[in-house]
Order: sequence, then structure tokens, then C-alpha cells
Amino acid sequence: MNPEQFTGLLEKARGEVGKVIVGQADLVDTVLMAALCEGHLLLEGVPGLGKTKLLATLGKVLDVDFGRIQFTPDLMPADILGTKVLQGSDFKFVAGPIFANLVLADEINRATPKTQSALLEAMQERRVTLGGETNPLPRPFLVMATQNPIEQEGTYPLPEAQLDRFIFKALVPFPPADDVVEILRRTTAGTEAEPEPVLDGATLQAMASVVRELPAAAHLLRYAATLVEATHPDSPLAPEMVRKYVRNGASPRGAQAIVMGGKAAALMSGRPNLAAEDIWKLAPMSLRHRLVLGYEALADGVRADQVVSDVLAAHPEPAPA
Amino acid sequence: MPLPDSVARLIAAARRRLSVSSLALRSFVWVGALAAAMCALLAIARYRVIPWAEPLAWGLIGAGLVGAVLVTVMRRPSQAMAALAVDRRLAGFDRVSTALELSARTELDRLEVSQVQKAGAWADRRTLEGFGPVMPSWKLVTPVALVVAAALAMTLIPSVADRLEAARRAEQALITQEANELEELARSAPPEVQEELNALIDELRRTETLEQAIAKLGEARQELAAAADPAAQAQKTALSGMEQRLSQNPLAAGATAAEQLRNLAGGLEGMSPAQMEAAAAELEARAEDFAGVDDQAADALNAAANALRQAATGAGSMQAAADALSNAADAVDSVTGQVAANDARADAQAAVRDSQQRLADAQGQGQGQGQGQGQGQGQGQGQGQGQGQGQGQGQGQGQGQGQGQGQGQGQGQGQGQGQGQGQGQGQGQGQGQGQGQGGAGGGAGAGGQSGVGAGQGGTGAGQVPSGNGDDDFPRDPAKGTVFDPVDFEPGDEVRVRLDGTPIPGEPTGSTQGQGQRNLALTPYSDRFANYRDSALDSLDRSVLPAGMQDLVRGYFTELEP
Repeated sequence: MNPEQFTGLLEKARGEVGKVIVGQADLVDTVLMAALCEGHLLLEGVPGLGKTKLLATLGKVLDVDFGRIQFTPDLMPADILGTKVLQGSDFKFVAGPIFANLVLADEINRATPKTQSALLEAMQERRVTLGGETNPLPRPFLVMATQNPIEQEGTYPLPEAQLDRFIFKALVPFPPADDVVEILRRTTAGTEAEPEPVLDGATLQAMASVVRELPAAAHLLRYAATLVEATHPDSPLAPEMVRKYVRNGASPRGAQAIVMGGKAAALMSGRPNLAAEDIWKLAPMSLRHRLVLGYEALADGVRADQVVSDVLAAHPEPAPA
Repeated sequence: MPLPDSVARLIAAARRRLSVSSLALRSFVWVGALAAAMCALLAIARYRVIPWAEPLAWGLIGAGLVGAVLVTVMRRPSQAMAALAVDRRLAGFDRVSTALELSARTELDRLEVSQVQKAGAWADRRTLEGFGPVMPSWKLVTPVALVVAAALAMTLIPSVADRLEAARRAEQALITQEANELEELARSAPPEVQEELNALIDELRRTETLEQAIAKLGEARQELAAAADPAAQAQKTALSGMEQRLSQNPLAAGATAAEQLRNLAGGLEGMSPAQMEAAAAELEARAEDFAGVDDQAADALNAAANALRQAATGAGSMQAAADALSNAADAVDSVTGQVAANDARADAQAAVRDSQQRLADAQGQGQGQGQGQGQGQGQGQGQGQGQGQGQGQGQGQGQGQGQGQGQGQGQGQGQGQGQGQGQGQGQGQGQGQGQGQGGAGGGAGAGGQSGVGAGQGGTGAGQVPSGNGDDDFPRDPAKGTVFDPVDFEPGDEVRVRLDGTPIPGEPTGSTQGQGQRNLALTPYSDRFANYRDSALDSLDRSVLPAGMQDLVRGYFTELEP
């Protein structure tokens, strides 16, 4: 697959998603970028903004196995991963809903940490080990999760280890009024449009290969590494806000997310190489959920996005490698 | 894969542009900072002489420019930096920098090849338009230009310090010139004079102002004068007289007196007693010339004369006469050497005086001329009393008492020197009786270019001739007498003229009891030379403008009997 074919397929996917999702172009691109990176995505937004709708639509556009898990406090790991059932004289593994190419983990923070932890191996290793038996997950394997930031009752914050496994954390904004009108027009009259599947699993993987192969200059890789290093409070590169408010900085997965997402963004923009502009764009969604803020940040009302902005301001441009 | 030409061209152009712009920026920053510092220095130097201020100021600014060029050359932007600058400033989205990096690799995959090719296509349509200005922002250029203009203005517009510095340099040049001239003189001077002159030259070169140099020269003149033999002039006169006499009436063959004496010693055998007697008489007469001037020479000549007489009468041997003549020749040679040394010292003294005079004249004409006029009044009282009793030829007793009072009034003129300060010297003439000393004269002078100066008249010297009570002494030297008090203590030998006939070198008595009347009176013509010499010596020792010196000399010329 060449970049031109890549762009063509991507445009088709955007068009199909756009049949259902009004506006939210950046959010749609973020979701597609995560898919092209074979990365897991965490969408955070208040209820009613179309998070689940977007991911469900993506499941339709991608002609892949789609599984949806509604996370609740009483959800058990076996409800996700599957279990072994006695059939005759043998125990046979019955796969759970995780065994799909695209898994929608709706309201993931409503499950208990124990259940959330069931996803750790699946998300990182792309396999499930149960009763000494390891079963690989299908490829591509994508977890698209949603969470509501405002409801604290009956929710369990995701542990850092699991947050780190999400390539991006996208914030779902409230749509502008014109988009809301269009949403009303589409959803309150007649029948809703139905998207057509345009990308199958193999094609998606081929596109992911193109993303990986996209050239990235050394100075840009170093720039991404510099940004991640600057999120660590004990680093000499760290700006004042990081030293004051951040308890733990981003992991190397943050740099990987920046570079991979940047490559995808470059291809989606029709460019044949990674650029600093891609890094600037990807840094917030790649780093915001990987920063562990201290109590000082909570007291001063400082959010992770402000810290990332400060890091970018401290290191505005890449230096020659 | 080679870098596409379009990309390489764009990078090279960007590199040049970055070099020039960084040079411009660096130059403006450095020059601005240095010029600001130098402005402060030049501002101070306008009111305080700092000779190195301007060279340092412009030297540092020049060094700043050179340093900016050197640093720019040494830190020329690399290709990678230029490629990054193109990507950032021309919205290249890292196409150029990525292509530059990929082109350095030996193996590229299809996407990388595609990237380099697309970067080439992109660069093909690009120029450096929009890359950014070469010159720094006017916010930097304007203040730097103002600071440099201020520094330039402070350099070009003369200040008080500049004038002072120019005057100092001019003075230094004059001092150096005088030192060079003295150095020339020192080369041909005898060693002892040469040593003194060299020491003076060294000190002169270290002086910084004309005033100091003039003072040094004055000190040197005094030292030279003190070192001079007071009898040198008399020696010279006596020697000159002897040489002249013997050239007209030679004792023997020879160009000089010493040679004639030696030849005479060698030719005694062929001389008659009468010739020897005549030669002895001549030698005695010449010995008289040296009496009281150079006793050694006089004694040697007298001894030679005696030896000749004895040889003529047969009372002494020819050899003794020849030896005595040789001794006399040696004594004359010695006098000749002393006279020559003193002549050299006198020449040096004259040269130092001329230098001092030139520097004094230059000082008066230098940074402004001031003139002062002073009036001096002199009052003097003289009282002389002599008592003496002389015994000798003849007999005489006398009592003399002279008393006189004199008042001198004088008017002086002064010439100011230097910047706003004048120095004047007053001179007074007085008439009266007794002895008087001039009072102090005061004057005021106006400075020249640099403003008003205050002149101060020098001491007015009222010279009141000694007298015997007459209101005015007669100009007739034969009749005129002046009061010439003798500085003596009781018991000192004094020469007293009892009958008016000079008896050089012969004491005729000692002061005991009452002196003779008019003992201290002496012919005016005898003492005039002393007054004149003393006054001219004073002129030599003091710094006076040439005009004033001529006035004094003219005065004594007029009075000369």
C-alpha cells in the first residue's frame, strides 16, 4: 500500500463515519489515528456527547469483529475474558467479549479495579491467559474505552498501569450549536443513516504498516524523547510547572504514542514524513493521562493539559540531532 | 540517495542567509553594548583627560565587529540547522530536514525514497521569500545607531579635555625637541658635562608639562652655574691676553704660549743674557695677568722668570731655567684645559638657558596669552660705616661715614603665561640714596583663547645706586664715585685705596679703628661692570621673555661709561 492508497481509504472511512457523527472532525481523526496505530483509545467526556456512538460507528465502518462491554461495578473478569466450561470430561475455554478486533469498553471506570486489571495483559500483550492456557487475541485488536469524568459515585479511577496502555486519551468536547442542530435534524426525523464498512482487518493492518514505515527524522525522535523527559520533575529539562506539580512523569510509551500518532497524523495530512507540527498536535493526548499529578496540582486546580502546554512552551522546537 | 539539487540549493541559500543575519544580529548586539560602555567612557573623558579613551573606544568597537565576524565564521550554521530553519520558516513540515537525513543513508525503503523525492519537488517551488529579514529588528538597530552616533559625536566634537590633551602633546613635543637638541650637544661635551646633561635629558623626557620642564632646566642651569669655576672668566681673560701678547711678541717659535715656553726652554743655550732678561721681564708681566686669577700659573711664570734672570746673570743654571720654563708651560696647559672645560660648561649652560627660554616663550604663546602689568615700588635703606686705619706706603688717617636712604619706585610689566595665569616680573628703577631693594610688583593679565587669566607681577627690583649723598651721580666716569660698601668683619684684610691708585692683590692694611673718609667710595666705571654682570646673570637665572631681557640689556648699554 502506498500513501496515496492510504489517504484514499482513510477518506472513505472518514466519510462513512461522518454519515453518523456530526462534526467532531478532530475527535474522529483521533479515533482513526488510534486505529491506524493499533493503539487503544480512552475517550473522556460527559454523557450524551456521542462517545459510544462514535465508537460503535467505527465498529461498523471497520469490517471487523466488534465487541461491546458495558462496565458495571459487578462485572467480573470472566465476563470480559471468558471462562472454562466443563463439557463432557474436559474443560473447554469459552472466549469472552474481549476476543474481538474492536472492543468497546463503555464506561470503563465503573468496573472495579480487579475487573479493570483483567484488561492489562490483553491490552499490552494482546493475549489472554486463563487457567494456564494462553489464547491470543485477534489482530487487529483495539480497545476503545469511554469514561465519564464528572460522576464520582460508583466509579473507580483507572490505575496508572492501565492508563499507560491507552495510546491516547481524547477529551470529547461539547459540539458547537450548528452541529447540535444537525444532530437534532438527523436523529429526530426519519431514519438514521447507516455507515458502510470500508476497511477490513487486513486493510487496517496494512495501513498500520504504512504508518510504522513512515520516515521520522532523528531530530524529531529526540524531540519527542525530550518532551517526555521534560515531564519528569527531577529532569534538568523539566520546566517549573512540572517540578512543582508532577509527581511522576510520562513513560517511554508516551514518546511512542507521540511518534506513532504523529506519523499517522502526517499520513492523514498527506505528508510523507513526521513533522514537529505533528508532535505538537499529538503531545497533549499522548501525555495527559500519563502524568501523575501531586496534591499541589489538585490544590491549585492545575490540570495535566496545562502541564503539557508548559512543557511544550519550554521546548518549542526540535534542535538539530 | 543523493539529496535533490533543489533541496541542496535551498539549504545552501538558507545557510548563507542565516550566516549574514546572525552576523548582523551579533554585530549590532556587540557593537551596541560596547558603544554604550564607550559612550560612558567618552563622556567622562570630555571632562577629564584620558588619553587612551578614544583609541580604546573605537578599538573596542572595531574589535567587537571583528569578533562578531570571527564568531560567525566559526559558528556558521550547519546544514542540519539550515534545513530545520527552512522547515520552520517556510512551513516545510520537516520535509527538508528529513530528506537531508535520509539522503545520508545508503539504503532507503520505498517510503523514504518517496519522501526525499517529494521533498525535492517541494523545494523546487520554493525560494527564501518569507524566510525572514537579514537585518535585525529596528527595535535593536535604532538604539544601537543612536548609541554609536553619540559616541561618534563625542569623539568629533572637541572638548575641554581634547584641548588640554592637544596642548599636552604639543608641550611634550617641544620638550622632546629640546631634549634632542641637548642630546646633540651632550655628544660633543666633555665627560663630566656630558654626564650632567644626560641626567638632565632623562629628567626632561620624564616631565609632562612645560612648567615642569622649565623648572628642571632652571635647576640644571643653577647646578651648571654652581659647578662652574668662578675664576674661569678671569682665567680665560688672562690666558687670552697672554696668548695675544705672545702672538704679537713671541718669546720663541710656537703657535701657543705653552709651545713658545717649551721652545724657549729648548733654545736657552743660544740666547744672550739680554734676551733672557727680556724674556724674564715678559714672563713677569704675564705672571701679573694671572695674579689673583690662577696663582699656580702666576707662580710658575714668576719662577720661570726668576730662573731665566738667574741664568742670564750666571747665578742659576740653564737647566734650572729650562725646567722652570717647562713647568710654566705645563701650568699654562693646565689653565688652558680648565678654560676649555669651563667653556664647555658655559656652552651647556647657554644651551640650557636657550631651551628654557624657548619653552618659556612657547608656554606664553601656547594655550592663550596673558599679559600682566605690575607696578613695583622699592624702598631701600643703606647704611655704611667704615673705620679703618691703613699703614703702608705713605701714611694716612681718615674717617669716613656714609649714610644714605634711598627710595625706588618702579613700574613693571609682566607677561602672563599659561592658561589663564600670567606671570609678570616687574622691574623698577629708582633714584635715591643708599641701597634699596625693590618691592613687590603686582599685575593682572588676561588669558588668551581659553579665557580670562590672572597675571601676577613678579618681584620688582628697584635698583638704587649707591651714592654719597648726591641726588644724582655724574655720568663722567672720571669724576663719578659710587658707594661700594665692603662686606667685612673686624680684623679682615681689606684693600684700601689711599690715593686712588689701584694696587691689585696687595692688602694695604687691616681694619682697625676708625676708617678713612670715603673709604667705600670707588669710581663708577670700576663698579659698573659688576652691576651689569650681576644683572645679566640674574637674567640668565630667571625666566624672562626676550623682550624684557632686551630692555634690561638696553638699560645697561645706555648706562655704560
